[in-house]
Amino acid sequence: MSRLDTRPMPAPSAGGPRSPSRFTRPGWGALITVLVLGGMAVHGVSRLDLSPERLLNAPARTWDFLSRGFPPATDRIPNLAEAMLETIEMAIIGTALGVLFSLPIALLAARNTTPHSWVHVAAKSLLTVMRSVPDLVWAMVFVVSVGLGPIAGILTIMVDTIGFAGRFFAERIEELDRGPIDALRSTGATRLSVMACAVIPTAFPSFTGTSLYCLEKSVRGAAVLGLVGAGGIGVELNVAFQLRQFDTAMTIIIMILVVVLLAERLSGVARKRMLDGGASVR
Amino acid sequence: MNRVTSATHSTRALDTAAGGMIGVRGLAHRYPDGTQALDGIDLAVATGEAVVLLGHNASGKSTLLKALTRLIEPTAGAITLDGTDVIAAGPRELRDVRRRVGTVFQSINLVDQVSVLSNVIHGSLGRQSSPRNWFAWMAATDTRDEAMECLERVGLAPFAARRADQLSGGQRQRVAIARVLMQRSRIVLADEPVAALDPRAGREVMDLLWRIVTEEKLTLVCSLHQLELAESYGDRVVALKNGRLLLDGRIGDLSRDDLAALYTVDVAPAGDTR
Ligand SMILES: Nc1ncnc2c1ncn2[C@@H]1O[C@H](COP(=O)(O)OP(=O)(O)OP(=O)(O)O)[C@@H](O)[C@H]1O
Ligand SMILES: [Mg+2]
Repeated sequence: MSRLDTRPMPAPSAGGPRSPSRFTRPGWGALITVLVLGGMAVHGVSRLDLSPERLLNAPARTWDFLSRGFPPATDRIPNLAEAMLETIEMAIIGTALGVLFSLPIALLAARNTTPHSWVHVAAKSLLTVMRSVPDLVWAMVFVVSVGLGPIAGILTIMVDTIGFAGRFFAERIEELDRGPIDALRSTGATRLSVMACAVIPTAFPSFTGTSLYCLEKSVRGAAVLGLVGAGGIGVELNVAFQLRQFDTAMTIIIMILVVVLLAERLSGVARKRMLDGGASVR
Repeated sequence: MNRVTSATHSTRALDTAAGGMIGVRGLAHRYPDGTQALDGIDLAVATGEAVVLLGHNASGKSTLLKALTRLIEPTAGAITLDGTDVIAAGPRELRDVRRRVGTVFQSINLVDQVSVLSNVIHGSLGRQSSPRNWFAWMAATDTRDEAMECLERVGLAPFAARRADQLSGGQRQRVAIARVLMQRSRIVLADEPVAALDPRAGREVMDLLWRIVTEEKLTLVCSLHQLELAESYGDRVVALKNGRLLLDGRIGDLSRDDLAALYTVDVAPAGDTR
């Protein structure tokens, strides 16, 4: 064009796509949700029985616990170490069993590998129940069914791990690249073979990562299962608090801290070794 | 060049469907999002014939090749492969048909986390669905030997123990060809087998595929973008445009106008019928 076009720009409404407005008013649903949550918080605080005397006494009582806790008791360390070992072993056995069982359940639960939509719903619901009931509640149930001790603890950790790992495995399986799966299907392989040869190997790095994380989580969880009698160091912790032997309690707390940190470190190192760090963005 | 009209193509399909290796009639596929990727495809391929499938990007080539063995479930139409009605086949029959059809994919689908040898052995799963064939270390000795022979034929025997993701693109595609060999199929469907490769590796892979197809007297349908490759490897050209059959004829008869028609894409993708 040789001449400048001096006609005014057409108004946006006249033609051309309009960009969406920048802000949208939150819907009624969001508003009601915020009001309900806020109301519950206010109501909860009003029922807390926050007497001034209680608040004033708290620092002194905490100080009492700390001053009696230090120096931590050393006389019972051999016994406590044994209980700690039991805790770690409970975590390892429970996690191993849990990871083992969560794999087939995940294959039944993932939409792309399930044999039937009903099985998908059933497996998913099972995982939801296992995950949603808190582990201390599972522990109480298992203490009732198999009695006090580490077996109840192992079962608790197993169920907790299945609920967690099963869900993550299933989600991972659902988002797998379909390429290798199609390649196996195209050879005439059975569904089972496709799962064994394409699904599991391609999802394997993510499975190992999740399993290591579960182990970490189980060590932490196993430490408190003894509070309801499901074996491990938690039993000792419970007794120490009830007898107000705060120096022993402090020893146990420090031991738990060390073991949990160690577990985190070890699983971090193992993850790095196995997954060779993944793709660098540097 | 035979410009396809509804009259000629349907009669052609009827003529050759009887003794042919691949017979397709009225094949259509619509993706769940509404994209009509294939629309009324009729095709008949005789035993031992090599067909080159041409078409612009998104014309439906990959969808067609996957729909033939129901890796993608067609929404309409009839398919016969090697005498078997694919659409009517039950799960067991379908696996048997797939066993007889080797597929080489555009996206070079290997299982990256296992060895090259395991990937080749996977080709035998349609014949012997034994868990021993899941991984190379579990497989029977004669299965391993056969897989090694297949690797030898694609020139990759020294790489058998490597993890599949430690090969170059061209090597990976040759492993996929070795897997097809292991399958002992009668038909090969190759979806732009050289799309991800440089010209020289592409030539090598095509030469290899072509040699195997002629040696084993296989029936081939191979989609390609490179016309010069199409000229050296195909007897016959079938072209798709927007999910419909546009051309079907001898490769030498292809005119400039035909090509122009093939690669001018309509502004509105006609495949999208929403
Ligand atoms: N999974 C999918 N869901 C929805 N639409 C799809 C899907 N896969 C492909 N399509 C669409 O179907 C049409 C045909 O795609 P297809 O992959 O068969 O084309 P193609 O001829 O193989 O293209 P190219 O040459 O790029 O490989 C395209 O419009 C594409 O966007
Ligand atoms: Mg394609």
